[in-house]
Amino acid sequence: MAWKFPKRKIESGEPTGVEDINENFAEYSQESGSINEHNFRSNAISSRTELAATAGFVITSASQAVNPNIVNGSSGPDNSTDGNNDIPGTTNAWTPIDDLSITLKTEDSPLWVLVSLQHFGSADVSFAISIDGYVLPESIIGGVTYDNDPDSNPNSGESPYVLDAVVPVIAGTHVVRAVVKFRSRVFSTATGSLNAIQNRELIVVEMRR
Amino acid sequence: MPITYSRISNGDAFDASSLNTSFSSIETSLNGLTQADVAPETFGRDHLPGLVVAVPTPISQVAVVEYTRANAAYVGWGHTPVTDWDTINTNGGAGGGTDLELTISAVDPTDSKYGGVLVFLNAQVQALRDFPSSGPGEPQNEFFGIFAIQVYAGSSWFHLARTERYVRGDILTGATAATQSLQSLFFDIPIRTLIRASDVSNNSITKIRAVCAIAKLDSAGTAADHKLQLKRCTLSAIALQGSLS
Repeated sequence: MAWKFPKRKIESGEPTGVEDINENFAEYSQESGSINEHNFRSNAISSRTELAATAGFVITSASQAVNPNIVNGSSGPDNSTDGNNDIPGTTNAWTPIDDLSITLKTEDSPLWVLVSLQHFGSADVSFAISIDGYVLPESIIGGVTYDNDPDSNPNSGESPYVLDAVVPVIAGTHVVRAVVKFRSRVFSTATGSLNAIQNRELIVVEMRR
Repeated sequence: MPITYSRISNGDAFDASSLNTSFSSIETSLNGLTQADVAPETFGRDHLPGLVVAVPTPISQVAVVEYTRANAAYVGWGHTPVTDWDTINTNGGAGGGTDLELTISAVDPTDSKYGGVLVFLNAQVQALRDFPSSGPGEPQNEFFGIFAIQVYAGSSWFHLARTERYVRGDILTGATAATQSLQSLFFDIPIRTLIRASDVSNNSITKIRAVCAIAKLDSAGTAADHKLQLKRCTLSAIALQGSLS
């Protein structure tokens, strides 16, 4: 609690008693160990430089830059010029996207996960965020029940996508990934122009406070 | 940790020395306060500074603007100088209007407590196609609209090649051969990125902007008729304090 004045206020000219002194000292000694919000004035810490770097947000990112090789008036994009194209293949299963994997040690915190990527190709694909191998249904771009709704996935050709989710995690080490799943409706036998993920970025914001 | 306070008893010496002993025990304890001395959840919004370093006012433009292969042709991936790129502008490719550009209070990316600037761009492509004076025009799926984020630090703009995104025009199912390349596209271009110290070579980030361009996979047709039409575009950003790894 806050102090307004000592318990025993000693006036000028007043004889000083031992108990008065003891009680005034005891007031301070009892407070130590239970300092709370009332013991700090408003805006007591006014500058963020007084805070530890890990006090609020811990931000981690991973990215890959890919030249899609578009030449105006000459050629469209391809997935072969730049070696950093990620070609997930045609397996109908969630596959980690190259370079978009972050392993981090957290407290009990919510994680804000953002993925921004460029899709090359026109086959159906789905994208999602996975944490510790679990694909977050709410993060999926495309349908969750593809067998029931085969028209639910992006198949608009080359286009960019963004995914995000806020996920509470327990203290410990976690693996956050962006994942992709090939869908076979358009190209049942994919040849030549396979899908690819080009420019891409994964951002994880651990919100500790 | 509680202070062990030795009370002064009746009959004890009550002088400067005994008082100093008591004061010293208080002094030692106050100087040695630990995390455990502060009750959990002591510090709230009234005590601590914001963890947001800077929040520029988001900027939007809503009117339809045009860029053509004559005035906003794609200059190539990661192209420099950055001035060759066309900023998204309220006058479109002609320029001279208001750029889709944010101004923020200076952020030092080399500050160890700087967690980066999160940038959010959404640009709505209304149309990406040929606008011929006659005839069906060039196939719509031969056109590409390209977008990217640039950041101003110190006295230079820096182009973030990893943020380049593109969309291909689409020949819409069900349209006739005569009209299939004359349909509007209506496609949202989203970009998210985290600006880091390695993205710039100066220590003061003060502006962020969005650029766009149009490309075609061959040279057929009239470049001035090949248009990228944007409708609503919004750019926002937030700079956060935090550990960056």
